[in-house]
Amino acid sequence: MDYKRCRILCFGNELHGDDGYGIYVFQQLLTMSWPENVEIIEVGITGLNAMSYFENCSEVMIVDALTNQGKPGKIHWLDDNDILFSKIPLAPFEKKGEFQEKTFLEHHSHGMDVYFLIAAVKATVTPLPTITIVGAEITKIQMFVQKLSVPVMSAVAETSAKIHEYVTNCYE
Amino acid sequence: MAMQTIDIDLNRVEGDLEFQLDVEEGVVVDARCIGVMYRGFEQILIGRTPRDAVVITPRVCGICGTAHMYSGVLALEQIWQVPVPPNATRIRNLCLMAETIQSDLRQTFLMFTVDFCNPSYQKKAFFDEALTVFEPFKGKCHLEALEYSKKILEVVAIFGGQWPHSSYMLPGGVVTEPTTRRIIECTDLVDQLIRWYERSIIGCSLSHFLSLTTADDFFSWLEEKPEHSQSAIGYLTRISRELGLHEIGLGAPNMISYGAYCIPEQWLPPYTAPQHLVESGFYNAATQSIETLDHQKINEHVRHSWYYPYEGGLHPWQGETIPDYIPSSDRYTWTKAPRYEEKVTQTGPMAELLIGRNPLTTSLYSKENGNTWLRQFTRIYRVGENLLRMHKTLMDLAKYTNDPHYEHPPENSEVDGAGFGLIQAARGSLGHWIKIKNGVIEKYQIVTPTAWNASPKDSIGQRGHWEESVIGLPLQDPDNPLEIGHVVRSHDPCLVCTVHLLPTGKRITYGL
Repeated sequence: MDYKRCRILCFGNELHGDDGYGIYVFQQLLTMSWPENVEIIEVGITGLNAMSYFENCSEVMIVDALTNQGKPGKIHWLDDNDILFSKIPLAPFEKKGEFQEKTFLEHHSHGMDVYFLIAAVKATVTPLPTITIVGAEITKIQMFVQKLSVPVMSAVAETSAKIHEYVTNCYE
Repeated sequence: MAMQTIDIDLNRVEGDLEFQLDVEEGVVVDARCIGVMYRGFEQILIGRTPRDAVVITPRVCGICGTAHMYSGVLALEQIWQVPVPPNATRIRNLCLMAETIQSDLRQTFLMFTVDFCNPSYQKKAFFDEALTVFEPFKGKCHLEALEYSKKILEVVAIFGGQWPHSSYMLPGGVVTEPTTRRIIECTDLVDQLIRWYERSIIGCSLSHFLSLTTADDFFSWLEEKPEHSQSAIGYLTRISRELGLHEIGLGAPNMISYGAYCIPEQWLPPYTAPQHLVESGFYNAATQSIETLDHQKINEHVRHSWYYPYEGGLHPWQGETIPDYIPSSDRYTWTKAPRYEEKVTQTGPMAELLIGRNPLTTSLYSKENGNTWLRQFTRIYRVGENLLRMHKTLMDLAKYTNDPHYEHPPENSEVDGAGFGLIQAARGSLGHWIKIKNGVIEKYQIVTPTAWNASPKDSIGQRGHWEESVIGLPLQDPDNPLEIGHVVRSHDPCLVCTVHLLPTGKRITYGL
């Protein structure tokens, strides 16, 4: 790829408690200054419709809530293989399932969620950008609760600072 | 007699649905379709300025936002008697067709055909072929559907700026003029889709495929050449029929279609009898006839829904959507129960084509009724029809590029009154009913296609269409009820489907 462009996609639903983590990070990121070749986008709960954001760029960072990663509020920095082929689930789809030791496809063959999005991007987008997932372990998803839990709220500023530091070093 | 209850979660981005089945001796004896999320858009709109409807309602759904915007704007134009230039209707139709094709492709190849690759079918003769064509992220059709369903949406982006949740229609027209450049860009996209459809989906020319008019024609065509039998529609048909999907999932025999795509030259005041490119109507199964659609015959029941109760059904203009959540009662869903003349009714592409008097659909329906395979077949068949319609619409726009795309409503036209906008969305009949009083929205009711199909029981205990479509269905393996997946997915829920058995707390992931 002959140019460098980074997109930061923030996923989540701020009406569902800790599921809004990515959106809170988005709001914080907007208050910071960024290099010209960095875009910050709130994508909410969209899945497959975010595919276009993976085209014509060198890197995409996905910011989303994580579960089964340990202590609430702990921040993780993962690559796409960690998500697709391990036990790590992104939060919105943890609520109904039991996550056993299965691959992505064993769990998610019909929903057009973030997992589906990443798999679809890897199967169809050329050239494929580097995909990085930045997330924090959450406490739980609560429908129609418009605030984050204390540990997850505390992780928002730290997440934003880490993303800013990384992106600024790479793209300025 | 041992009875077990199976819960199927049908979650998707736009809303959550669950399907609860009672199974006795391996046969489904009762079903409850459960909408687990309160939508609330009707209540949000009360007291707002009427034009907010066409900005807010496209957010109802991440798949069919264009359809909601279109319904809302038709309702406002009817109330205000606003004239609409034909080019505006052409652009609206073009975008709605693109959105419908997107949904039809994704539902078929990213949702429905994935089930053919279930490991339970490993010993079937078709299994290796199914993997080659339909396996997620590897199969030819799965990969191509990802690419082309995204590509066709560029048409909406060209005229609407973005998709989903666009805002480019307003009373009197659309915001974007049909420049030559836009028309050329869209024509290129549509032509790419047509070439792909011919090459991969049907294995012959579109004109030849659409010239098939009878069931015998179609089945002869299927066997005529390897290109046909080994096309996507060939695989879908042969595998479906080997699994017996042409014999199950009939559900409610009555069907409704609001008519697809306003005729550009005829969408004009007084809007008393709108004409469509594909006719509207009600298929009355008792008389086996297609009757003229009368929206006054539509009502909604809430006897088994979590809304403030009222007697019987109410027409949407009188309707109420006041939440009244009472779990652990015989009310079990946030979905209302729409009925036409108090009849349980289904909607979708099969209904659209049957009521629109498509000869092939009529012939196939006459032969085998409205089964699971036909419901899916008509969805992918409709893609071909819509691609041709898109091409023609673009040619019409090219003829009239200098004509207006918007006409400012006359002064003082924004009066109080009642109106409705009825269209065919990807999943079926969608209606918005509005009442305006003192310059603001007094009432707003949305009746979605999924409300028709996934409705609960009504005031007189009639099950909804989905519920009815699985009654009596034998399950080979209740731990892996593939039959339910086929039937439910043929209605385009395109949902995550996890099955768990309540009595033991055992939970089984269903799918690949």
